[in-house]
Amino acid sequence: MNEFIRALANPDIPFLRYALIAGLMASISFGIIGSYVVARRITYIAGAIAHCVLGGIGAGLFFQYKLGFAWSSPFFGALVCSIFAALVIGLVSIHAKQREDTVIGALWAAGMAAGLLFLSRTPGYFDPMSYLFGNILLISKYDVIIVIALDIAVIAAGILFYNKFLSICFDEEFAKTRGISTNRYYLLLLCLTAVSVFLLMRIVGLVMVIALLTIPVAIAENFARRMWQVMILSIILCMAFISSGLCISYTTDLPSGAVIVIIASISYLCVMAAKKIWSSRHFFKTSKNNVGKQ
Amino acid sequence: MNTNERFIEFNGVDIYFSSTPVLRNVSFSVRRGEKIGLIGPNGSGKTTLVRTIMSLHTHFQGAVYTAPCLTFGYAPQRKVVDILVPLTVYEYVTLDTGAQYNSALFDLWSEKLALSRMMDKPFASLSGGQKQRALLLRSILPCPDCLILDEPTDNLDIKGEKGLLHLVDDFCINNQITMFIISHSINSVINHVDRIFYLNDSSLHEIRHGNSAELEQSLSRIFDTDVGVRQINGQTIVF
Repeated sequence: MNEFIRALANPDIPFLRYALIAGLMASISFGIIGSYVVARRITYIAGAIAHCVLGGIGAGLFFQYKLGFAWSSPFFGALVCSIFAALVIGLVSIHAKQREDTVIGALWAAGMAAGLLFLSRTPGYFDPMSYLFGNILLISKYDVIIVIALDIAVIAAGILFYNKFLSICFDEEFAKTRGISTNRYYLLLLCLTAVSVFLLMRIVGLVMVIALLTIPVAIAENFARRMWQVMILSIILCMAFISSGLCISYTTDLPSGAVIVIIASISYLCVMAAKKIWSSRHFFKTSKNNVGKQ
Repeated sequence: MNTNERFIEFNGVDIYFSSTPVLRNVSFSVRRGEKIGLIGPNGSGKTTLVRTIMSLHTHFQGAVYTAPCLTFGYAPQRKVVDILVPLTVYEYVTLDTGAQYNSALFDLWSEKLALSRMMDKPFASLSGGQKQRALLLRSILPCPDCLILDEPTDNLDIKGEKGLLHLVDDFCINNQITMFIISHSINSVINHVDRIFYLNDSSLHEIRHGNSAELEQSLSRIFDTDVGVRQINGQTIVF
């Protein structure tokens, strides 16, 4: 722990500070957008968007190194591709109701395949593992500024459209009868999810980012009675998982993304086990009292 | 307000579920402020018809007209809610209106529907009847042009049923709201509506009930059996 704190203060290791700042900032978006994603039960759609981003990373690198476009970069490609994937997958889920899961599964795989094809045709060696599973060495000061700017935009939209998002998450049909443009807000929610995925993909990677969108919310739902409470608790949990994960990964020299996701998963299992034990003890206590009364 | 203006009109409409026709050649016209009872056996297409009116079901052929900017209040038959849904009754009821609702209407109806003391409870913890009352409150809170209630008395006893229907009745009359009320039983709705539509065998029939004799004749013809109608204390009973 002390070693981690010293490293954060060390000017020679800036990437650790950047990773922590980016992670803590992105946690706010994850808590808010993750709550909507879990409430609307579109975790698999968010997963598909996250995996399609590899196509954008590959295209970004291809345009940069093969075609020589200086403005292109893997993260620019990732951002554009994540929003494009969100819109395509969103439109598919709106219009292809009966084959929704099949089409989304195909897009999920196609996005990754396109990414690998672009990478294979890009001169030089680019390790897809860094993008798939995260690498905090990829974070620069410039990236932190981008993350903070996008984070503010996602938080603002998440709060501004709070009631509309609640309506489409909990009773889309009723929202439609009230004249709310449910498809538009659904697509907006998916775009915000896409941007949130982009915010944390450097730290935890595309494959595991979905865990941080859902696990904090799944834990928070057991303790909160209102949506805003779920959001705040999820933000705190997400911040705790990222901070502790970065600390452990730095001191033990393990991959940061994997450590963060393992901490989150173990916490979830512990909460569920504690809940189960508590409810069965409560049940036996109640049964015993009832038998005593008879 | 012109009550003779075109409000809701169906002309030769066929409604499908996947590729199977649920209702064929449906034609009717409803004016503003009219109260319509929709009756028929399970699976006769009552809910599908009201969903078509609200544009929630769009698999149909034929001419469907609804007045421009028509707003709906819809209380479905039941709502399955995840036990972990983090919404209180208050939040669920004001989901669409936010804080911009008529507070006098809210106070009056939450009291009448015995919901005022439950507003801070989790919505998922309510019983079936309580949920149904909360759905009703939510549907009337925005004071819509057209109120659609799907089996609103399903979980209620006779006293609750009578009280609820009288309340809704008065609310619609006072606010010139068009109402569709779905029920299995003609006796549940006959004293609270202006017209009754009977759905069976993929078709819609209107039951004329201007007076007992006309109603008796109309029911006997539609059901193809002897049907009796009595007036007791000003209430119509069909047997």
